[in-house]
Amino acid sequence: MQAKHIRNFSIIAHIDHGKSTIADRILEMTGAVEPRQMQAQYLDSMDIERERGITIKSQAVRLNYRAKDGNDYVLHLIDTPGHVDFGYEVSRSLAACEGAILVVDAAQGVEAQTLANVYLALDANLTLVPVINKIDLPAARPEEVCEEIEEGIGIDTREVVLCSAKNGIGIQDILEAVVKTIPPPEGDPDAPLRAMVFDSQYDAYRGVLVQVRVIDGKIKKGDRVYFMESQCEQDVLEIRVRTPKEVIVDELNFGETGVLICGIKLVRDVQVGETITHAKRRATEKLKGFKKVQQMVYSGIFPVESNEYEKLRDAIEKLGLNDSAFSFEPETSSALGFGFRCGFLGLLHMEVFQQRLEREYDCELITTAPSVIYQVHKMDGTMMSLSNPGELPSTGDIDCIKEPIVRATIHTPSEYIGAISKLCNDRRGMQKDMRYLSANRVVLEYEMPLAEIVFDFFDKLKTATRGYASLDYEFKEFRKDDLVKLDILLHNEIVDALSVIVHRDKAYDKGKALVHRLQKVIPRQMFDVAIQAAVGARIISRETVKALRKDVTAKCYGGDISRKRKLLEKQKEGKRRMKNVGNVEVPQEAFLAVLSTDED
Amino acid sequence: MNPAIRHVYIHFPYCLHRCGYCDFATTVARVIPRERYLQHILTELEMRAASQQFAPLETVFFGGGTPSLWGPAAIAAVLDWLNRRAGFAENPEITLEANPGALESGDLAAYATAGITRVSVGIQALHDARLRALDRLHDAAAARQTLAQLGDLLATGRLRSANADLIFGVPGQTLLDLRTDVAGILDYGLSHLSAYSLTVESGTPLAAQVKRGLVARPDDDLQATMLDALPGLLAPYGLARYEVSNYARPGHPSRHNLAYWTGRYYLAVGVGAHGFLPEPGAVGLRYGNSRKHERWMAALAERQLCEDLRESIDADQHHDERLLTGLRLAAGLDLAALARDLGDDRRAALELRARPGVERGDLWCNDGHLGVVPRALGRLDSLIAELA
Repeated sequence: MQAKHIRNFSIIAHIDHGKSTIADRILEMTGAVEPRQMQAQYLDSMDIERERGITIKSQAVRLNYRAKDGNDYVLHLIDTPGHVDFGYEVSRSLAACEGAILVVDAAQGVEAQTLANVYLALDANLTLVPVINKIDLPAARPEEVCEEIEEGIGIDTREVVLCSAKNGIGIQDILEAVVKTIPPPEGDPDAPLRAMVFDSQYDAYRGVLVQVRVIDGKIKKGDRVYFMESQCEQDVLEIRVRTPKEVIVDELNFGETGVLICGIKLVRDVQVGETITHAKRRATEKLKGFKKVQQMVYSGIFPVESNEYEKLRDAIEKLGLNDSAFSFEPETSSALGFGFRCGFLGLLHMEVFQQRLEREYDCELITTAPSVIYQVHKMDGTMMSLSNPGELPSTGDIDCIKEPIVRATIHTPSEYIGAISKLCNDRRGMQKDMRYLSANRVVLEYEMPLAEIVFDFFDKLKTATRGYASLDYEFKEFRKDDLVKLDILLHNEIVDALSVIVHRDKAYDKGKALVHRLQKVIPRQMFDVAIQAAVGARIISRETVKALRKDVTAKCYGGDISRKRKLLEKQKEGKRRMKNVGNVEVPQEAFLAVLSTDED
Repeated sequence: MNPAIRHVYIHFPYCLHRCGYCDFATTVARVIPRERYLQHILTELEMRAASQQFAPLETVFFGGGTPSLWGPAAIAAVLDWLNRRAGFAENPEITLEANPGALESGDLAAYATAGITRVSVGIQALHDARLRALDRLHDAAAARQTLAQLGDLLATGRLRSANADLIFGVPGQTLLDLRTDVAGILDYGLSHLSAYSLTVESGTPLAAQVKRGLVARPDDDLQATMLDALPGLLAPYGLARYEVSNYARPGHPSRHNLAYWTGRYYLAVGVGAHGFLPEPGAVGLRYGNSRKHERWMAALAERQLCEDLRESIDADQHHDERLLTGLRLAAGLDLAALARDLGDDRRAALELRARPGVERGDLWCNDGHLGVVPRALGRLDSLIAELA
């Protein structure tokens, strides 16, 4: 295939604007998938992806398309992750393309994520094909949305494609626009090989499947290649392309995408953004844009039953095989025993990972409240990165604590500006910018502590704006503030898994709310249980769970002993799922009580 | 365990009215098919008894429902059948449950003549407003009338024992109210009292009313206080607690119920009845008949059993059962009997597990028995869960 008949593109959209449905229709239209094999969100192979309507892993699919100009084209559709947590992966997938279809919902209009993705696309110098989807909705307002695209994004909408992916309207127009507008790949066929890794997956039989886009030169089966970031050599054992059925090919030329199988064992050994060249004839320069992944949110993951530690470790390792953005290390908690401190890109990433552990590996988990990473500058001049509040050194050793600050972009109809300002101020946000996209749509930019966002900010934002606002954020810097560790004591013992780092001004309210909530979730025990919140040695709040006085079945149900035995079994099961912390039985949900305290 | 059966339970599901808190297998019928029910009971007895080995029966219990609605003739017919098949031990305890509103004057004497030696009557309260709150059919006057008859039959030796059921911890009830009820009942000379705290069982009309906020939920702390107060209220009448909810004069504890609570086998027939029979390769078989009256009737008409539950009980399960029932007894769980039936290892393991509770002062362990100290009885379920 000549490079001039190749098009590499992805689809970018805000969540729920129809990206996957458009991809499904394109697969059907190009005959890649028979209608009877079609299932919704075809490219999202994980159950959780389908269920939550999000894409987590990237996929490249090779499609054949005969355009109206009579030429046969090869289209590489690169399906990118669709969530703010996976921003870097998105940027690498986009770097594998020359263009992108920009999908905007005809009713919802331009949203924060749309913009964030557009900026990523523009950074990658992509040509955008604007598409307005769901034009047959009663609430569709394509003219206004066009205006938003022109004003807010600054791209020409004279050639905008109107479609309804759900009803198959306008799909061919999209493909024609892709062929016509998006430029063919450029590259030097004779230069030393340079291929960019834009994702990788783990396969139990074949090891790591490395998804690459060849930028310069060509790669053949049997080649010895060199990974320029990892500085290691591998043999290319096999090359495949997905159509989406996997087909073995002999080589990939510049401009093409495909999957390399090199016998690599760990996904972690293949970094996204990596440059692959030939071992003998090496390229002199790496491809631009490589970044080491940075975990933003950490959480402790513990087995409910301590004898399931090994099982949990196996599961975490296996799941981690397929997730280069995930990190973990063993952690010991006096309250929860042996477990793992795990790092994630964001809360969604964390939730998905935890759900997969529970579902695919049948692990019963206790997870602690997520924490961001803090920089603790000590009196002795050293600095430690802290992802577990329980490990904060004593106050006397600390010079200052710095916390991560993000730049948050919020898109909203203008009527909610007041509500959002209040919310952001409550969360220690500082407004940096406010721009009108159109008469009634506004972009607000805030600098906020990441810690204030990771808990429930997004939910609160949605509530405050009846679901209309959208949020995106990126890391800015570590910044010093007056931060303290808030400890929770049960029956006079500090429960390390419940400690959180908070701003001093908020310690009292947070402590009070937390104690109150714990009082509700901790069941009555054989003795009075004191629940206290403390900063340092100072108790700032206290409540008591009164001792259980009556817990006895009145009647023995005549001769129906089975019924009583079943009640006992239920009770035992309930007990089994509790953690014993200093003689106090604490249910699983208590460890997440930290997450939602302010509504009480 | 000795496979010979010495205890039989007969369930009579019919009631004139279903009380709001009740979740037993009961059927409200305007016309009670007394004769047909008797025939089916005899059929089930024949079917179930065929494969069993009996010793002379020590106890028979007619429970319900309201078996005092069945008539002395039916009771006599069942007892005749049992006498022919198994015979009776000396001084058998043959209990009939009765309700104040469901007795004609003179009935109780006729039942005694039919062979009943013990009557258990559902008094529940001696206070009209509380009886209405409990959704009972009778009033305090009817209750007193029945109690007077019982007192008479006991005094003249026509009944050996008599029990009244009492419900306490009804929202609004005070400790003084409880004392008044207890005194009012025991003044008639009863030998036994069952005092149950009002429990909201799921699926009952009471549960629905509590959920909708129409009725207050019984207060746990008040019920705990009353549970602690009852032994003191009953002591002047010579009654002592022998099980969490049961009090008796010496020599008058319910032998039938004790058989349940000490892991004996018992044959049970009738709608919703639960039995425990010997089974090869297991500790025993627990079965439960269907609670659905029509289904049971239709099945028995075809000479078919009609069960909802059939469960082989292994040693682990039976161990839990013995804990559940044995620890409810004032005499405690008989560890020697446990070792005999389930092995010495289990006894040793249980004693080990009981140690923290004993050290804490919630449990006692001596004379080969393990028990719960009286002041910890209110937390019995949690204590049992600790040991199971």
